Amino acid sequence: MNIREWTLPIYTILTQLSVGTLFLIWVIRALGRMKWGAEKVDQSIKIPLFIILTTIIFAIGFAHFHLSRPYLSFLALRNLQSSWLSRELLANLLYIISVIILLYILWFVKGHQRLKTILGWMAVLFGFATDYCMSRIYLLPSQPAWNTLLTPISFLLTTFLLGVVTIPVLMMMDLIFKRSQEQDNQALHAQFIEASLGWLAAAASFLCILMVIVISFQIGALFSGSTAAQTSLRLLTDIYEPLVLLRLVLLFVAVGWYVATALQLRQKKVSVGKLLPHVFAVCLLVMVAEILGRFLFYAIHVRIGI
Amino acid sequence: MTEKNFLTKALTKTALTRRSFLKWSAALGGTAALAGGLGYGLKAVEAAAEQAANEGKWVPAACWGNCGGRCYNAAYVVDGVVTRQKTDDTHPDSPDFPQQRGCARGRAQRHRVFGADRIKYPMKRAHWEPGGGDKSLRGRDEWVRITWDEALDIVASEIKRISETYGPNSILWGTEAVGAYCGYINTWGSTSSGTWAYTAPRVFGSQSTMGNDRLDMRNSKLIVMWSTDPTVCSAGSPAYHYLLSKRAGAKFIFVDPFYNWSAQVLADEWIPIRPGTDTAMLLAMGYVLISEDDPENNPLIDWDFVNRCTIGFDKNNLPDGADPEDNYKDYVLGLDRRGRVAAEGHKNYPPKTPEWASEICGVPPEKIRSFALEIAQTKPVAFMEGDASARINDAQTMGQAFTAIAALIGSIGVSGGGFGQTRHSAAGNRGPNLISAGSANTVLESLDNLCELRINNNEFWDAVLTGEYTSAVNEKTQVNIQMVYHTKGSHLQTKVGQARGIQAMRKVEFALATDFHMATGCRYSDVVLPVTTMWERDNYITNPNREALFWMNKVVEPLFEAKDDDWIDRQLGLRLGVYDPAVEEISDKQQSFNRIAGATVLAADGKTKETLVTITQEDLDALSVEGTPQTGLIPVMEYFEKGTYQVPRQDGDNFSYIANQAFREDPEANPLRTESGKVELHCRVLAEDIYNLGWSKIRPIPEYIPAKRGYEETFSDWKNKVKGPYPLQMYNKHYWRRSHSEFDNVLPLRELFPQEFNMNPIDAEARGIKDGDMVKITSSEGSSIRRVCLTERIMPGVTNLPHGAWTEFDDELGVDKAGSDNYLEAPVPTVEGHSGFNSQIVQVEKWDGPRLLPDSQWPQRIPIKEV
Amino acid sequence: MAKQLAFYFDASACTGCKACAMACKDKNNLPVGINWRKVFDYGGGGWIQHPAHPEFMIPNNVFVYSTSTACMHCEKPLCAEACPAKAIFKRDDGVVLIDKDLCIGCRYCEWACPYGAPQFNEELGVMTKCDFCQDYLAQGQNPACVDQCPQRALGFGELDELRQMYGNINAIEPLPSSDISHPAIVITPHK
Ligand SMILES: Nc1nc2c(c(=O)[nH]1)N[C@H]1C(S)=C(S)[C@@H](COP(=O)(O)OP(=O)(O)OC[C@H]3O[C@@H](n4cnc5c(=O)[nH]c(N)nc54)[C@H](O)[C@@H]3O)O[C@H]1N2
Ligand SMILES: Nc1nc2c(c(=O)[nH]1)N[C@H]1C(S)=C(S)[C@@H](COP(=O)(O)OP(=O)(O)OC[C@H]3O[C@@H](n4cnc5c(=O)[nH]c(N)nc54)[C@H](O)[C@@H]3O)O[C@H]1N2
Ligand code: SF4
Ligand code: SF4
Ligand code: SF4
Ligand code: SF4
Ligand code: SF4
Ligand SMILES: [Mo]
Repeated sequence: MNIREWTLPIYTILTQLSVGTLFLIWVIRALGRMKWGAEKVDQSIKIPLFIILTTIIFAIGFAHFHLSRPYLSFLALRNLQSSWLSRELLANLLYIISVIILLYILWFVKGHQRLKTILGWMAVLFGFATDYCMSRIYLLPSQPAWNTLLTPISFLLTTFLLGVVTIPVLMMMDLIFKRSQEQDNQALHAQFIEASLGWLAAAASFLCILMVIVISFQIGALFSGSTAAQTSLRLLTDIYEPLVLLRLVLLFVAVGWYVATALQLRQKKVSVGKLLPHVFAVCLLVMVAEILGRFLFYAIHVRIGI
Repeated sequence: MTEKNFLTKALTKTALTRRSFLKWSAALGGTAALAGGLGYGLKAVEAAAEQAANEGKWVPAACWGNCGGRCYNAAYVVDGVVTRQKTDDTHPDSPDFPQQRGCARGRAQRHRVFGADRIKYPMKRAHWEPGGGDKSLRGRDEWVRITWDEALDIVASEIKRISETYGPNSILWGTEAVGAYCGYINTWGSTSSGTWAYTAPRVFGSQSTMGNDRLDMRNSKLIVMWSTDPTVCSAGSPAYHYLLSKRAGAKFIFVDPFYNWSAQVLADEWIPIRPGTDTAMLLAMGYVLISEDDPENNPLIDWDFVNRCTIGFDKNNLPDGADPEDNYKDYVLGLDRRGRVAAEGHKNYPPKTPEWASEICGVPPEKIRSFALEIAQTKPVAFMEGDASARINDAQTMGQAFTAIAALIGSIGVSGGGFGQTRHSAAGNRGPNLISAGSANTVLESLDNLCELRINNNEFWDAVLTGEYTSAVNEKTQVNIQMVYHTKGSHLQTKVGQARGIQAMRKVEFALATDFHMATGCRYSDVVLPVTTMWERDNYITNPNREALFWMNKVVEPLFEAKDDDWIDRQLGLRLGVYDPAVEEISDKQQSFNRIAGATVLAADGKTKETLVTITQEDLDALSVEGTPQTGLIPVMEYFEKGTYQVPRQDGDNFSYIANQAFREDPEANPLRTESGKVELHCRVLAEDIYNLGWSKIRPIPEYIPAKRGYEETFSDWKNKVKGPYPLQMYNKHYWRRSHSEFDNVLPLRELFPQEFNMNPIDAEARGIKDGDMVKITSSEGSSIRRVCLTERIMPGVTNLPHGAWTEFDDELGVDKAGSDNYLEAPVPTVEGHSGFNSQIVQVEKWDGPRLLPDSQWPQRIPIKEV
Repeated sequence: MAKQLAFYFDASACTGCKACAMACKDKNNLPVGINWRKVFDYGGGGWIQHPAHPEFMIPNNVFVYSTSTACMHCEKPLCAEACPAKAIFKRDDGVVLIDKDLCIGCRYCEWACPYGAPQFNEELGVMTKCDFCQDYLAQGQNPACVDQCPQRALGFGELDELRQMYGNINAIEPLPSSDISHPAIVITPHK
């Protein structure tokens, strides 16, 4: 397999995963503080945040495989005036820096709740800015398969969906980690998961349905589009049809599994402590589905004209 | 990259240094070494450009090959390496005085000369032994490098052994030395101009005096382009000359199964016609002209010309002793000797009406009629053809039927008119040369071939396989061929019956080939000898057309161990004892110089001849040749450096050429070189000569005979129109990528011009074939697989496999994978023994085996991988 | 004086012979897979039954013509807008160039260009494209492709002057709409 073909799908998906997750963490933090108090909540999001940071750094590092001369990647900041790629890179750097600072003060600085909150939202903002710039890259008049509002919409949906499936995994990991360290935080995690898994599963189902709607709009747009768009469509239906189906199947299996897990939890057929394999599987399936989806996104674009 | 390693290793063993090889291959692009130097940042680009401008030297360089063009080409040589090429810029370009610009192949010549697949040194087949060894390994054996001495000794001893064992008629093809020692069998039969080769001299006296020159062509009102594609087949200037005629107001009508590349620019109208059915259409046009002509109200026929300048038009105008029914008019109208409509079964039956013809040729009757009327009512008309429609089995009368129409409409001998061949180097500009080279003044006389036996192109492979050939009417003669010598011709590739040829190559005791690359002949031989290209020789002088004379320089010293053909043959001849070692030929360079020193140019008056070059003693010293100082139009050194002299032309100059003008004015005083001195619509000699060849008995008039493997044979039941096992017609268009088989190995050309099988979407749909699918094409000879390109350009029912791809015969699958035309072409000896390449019938189906890679990604044929 | 060098292409003269494409490959040492100048055959029409004699198939508006294109040195070069490293720039004479020292090989320009002009050279690891034969121009010579064309279907010059001579057409099928990047080209259509 050609590694270069996979750099962009993996890079963009991981970045979006991080943004979606960070956003949800910050929402949860905002809600959780009222219930459990700021310090306790912050304790429980340190490790998830750390994992997010590693993910972003891995993602951007991995993206360098996309370049033929990765050692010159800093030059990509030269064209902020007009290049969405430059802008994306800048946003991404700001995003990474803000997450690093955030993590630093979460870890080492006591108090300063307001600062933490603001910094967190800033990081989220930079994350979404990265996401936005990233989608703007593809709004090119020469690429009809990309050049529609559906591109930013689908990017955003992917971002949220990945966040929704990743959050419980991080929580569970933190839980297990803390247990191994014999720090007692399980009450909080368990409570949190019990409280939210149902909602998260519902959100995932909802996002998944939106996703299918967006995909059908995308296909519709290709269908009625220029020759190039129709060529894209033919690629999708002739060569890549199995991948398209695989992606949808993976998504539905994942969401089904998610809902089932949430229901079982609710009916107390499974204890929180045993959830990890389930939420992990769900997250993995969605990630694979989305990487496939993104791969297709890159694979089917066809330039207009000649 | 293993290739590179092998080459560098191999090179250290030759006189060439590793450095120079790396330079050559790097210069071909795609290798970081040089491309990096030229391709990096802006400063580097500028520096490189400057350096290039200062360091190198442009050398006029040959473009050879049998392509129909002769264009100007120059190579930029930096330190012994050719880094780029260019075409004619030796004078400013204008329509009247155009540059001789070349085609893509010419511009890719350095990839051919310096290709990694050049044959570098003499080689023998690994399992070869005297007598052949395991002969079935030919075509798939390994190669072993040998020295020139070893190679020449093997060849000489095998020639001796075989000629002594099997007698004089045992070697197929050869060179002067072989001919003088024991003789070699030659093959014969028109391959290029189809049946025109036999028909034109007998019906019209010559094929080269039919068309007018390019400036006169701007006077045409209508130009008919019948089975011709000068854009592809006379690349270079001719299509441009036609474009200028169009811009001067000529209308163009193309009659062709394919909307070809010339048509796409020139055609105002396209009349699609089935291959090999042209005679029927032409006869029906004659029918329309004769039956609708009314000298008073609707004059269609140029009676003045027909009466004075032709014989055989009607029964009153026949040579003595001829059957009165054998005249054009009665045959066309379907009349018997009493002028009544002939009954079924009569030889003139039926009338050749447009309805009769259209069932055969596929052109609707009204179209035949309106086309005939249009060419008769427009004046002047240039009625031009390529010879593709005569490269048809049984098509001996195509040329005669064509000439008849030209005569009836009076296109012969008039300004803006002309007719006949516009193909190959004859396209778009006819007339005697305005500039000519002198004699080479060689000292040695050429030696005769001791063997007089010639075998027809349609029979020689069978002769190898079965030991028999046709020697006269109803007469077969035995022959035992045990050696094949491929040289200066790609017989195993370009002649019909390649599938049998491969078997034949595995039967003989010895096979030898000389070439630049591992072309098909080399591949199936035992010993392969590397020859120099024209870029490594000193003797390339040619007329690109009537207006210019080229003297192309040697660009580089011979690469690796390549040698000239003359050197090879001399060494062989010395071993065979046919040459006197004491007498040597003068050098190529001296010969070329002599030809240029003697070159003459027509003066502006169009009559006197002027000497081309001025030569001084210093020039002789500088060129180190012998000669005497002389005065001419330009200094010899200037000519040598430019490589060309072109006669300036303009409208109204004295160089215009209107073919057959004098003949038209006074045919008695200026007869054609036919038996009667006139245009022979009844041609006794043609019928007689063809009969004597032994295959067919024909009438002296342009009778329509359905071609073997023609349209009619796509049916198993013609009356009820039931298709047979090979329901599609196939022909071979000459193609951009190659000049015949030459250039087929050149990677950038493989990339730019894919070898694809053409078929109409309608025929494809009926077979479940989609554009770009792999298909299997099957004829009675075998199968070939190729990618299909569906196109509306080609008429339904007709398919085209472009001519000349080097076969890639797969011994395991038993199919050819290169789309080699002649793998599917069956030898069918008919009438004059020409090759009927364009009459072939096939079936096509989807191929479900693995897809072939694009040709440009196939490994190059590098015969020795490791040394 | 605003300057903009431009190509002229005469579709009514072009035979699709690809001599221009090969000239470009030769002059610029382009490997297999990279073609700064490309030639396309574009066709249409079909075959129908003859209205009066259904046994004959006749061509119905079958046409083919060729287009030869390279970088259009656009007035609005989307490639340059997209390039994050500013490796692509427009010179005073309108020629759009790639400074290969700056190229990081992200291949974004390849997506952005409507004409497929930028092509990535794997071996060098940089983006490449037609540079209008700038070295030849500097020496007062014509671009290699222009001088090779046997049909004299290619030309070049100041955009304004070309427009005065040949009109304003700058897009024919199958080329994309000229609104996208304002290509510096003047075209004589096929018919
Ligand atoms: N099916 C089919 N077959 C055809 C045709 C067709 O339309 N359809 N066309 C026919 C026509 S018109 C023609 S003219 C013939 C042409 O048939 P050929 O003359 O056999 O074709 P070329 O490919 O030109 O073969 C020339 C060979 O000689 C080699 N060669 C060139 N120069 C030299 C030299 O100086 N020394 C040596 N030793 N070798 C040299 C070349 O590398 C090449 O291998 O093909 C015919 N064959
Ligand atoms: N690029 C390139 N140029 C070449 C050559 C080459 O191999 N490659 N070979 C050179 C040589 S030696 C020769 S002889 C010439 C050949 O020159 P041509 O004989 O003119 O070449 P083709 O392209 O085979 O055929 C010309 C046209 O005739 C059409 N045609 C084929 N069969 C028939 C038919 O039965 N009836 C009618 N009406 N039309 C038909 C074809 O569709 C094509 O458009 O080309 C020369 N030039
Ligand atoms: S037409 Fe023939 S001579 Fe002219 S450039 Fe092409 S290959 Fe060379
Ligand atoms: S054609 Fe493409 S590469 Fe050239 S200037 Fe326009 S956008 Fe840029
Ligand atoms: S590939 Fe090079 S030239 Fe193209 S956008 Fe990226 S950095 Fe710029
Ligand atoms: S101007 Fe030069 S670089 Fe551009 S297409 Fe023509 S030959 Fe190639
Ligand atoms: S060289 Fe001229 S005629 Fe040939 S494809 Fe290019 S533009 Fe067209
Ligand atoms: Mo020929």
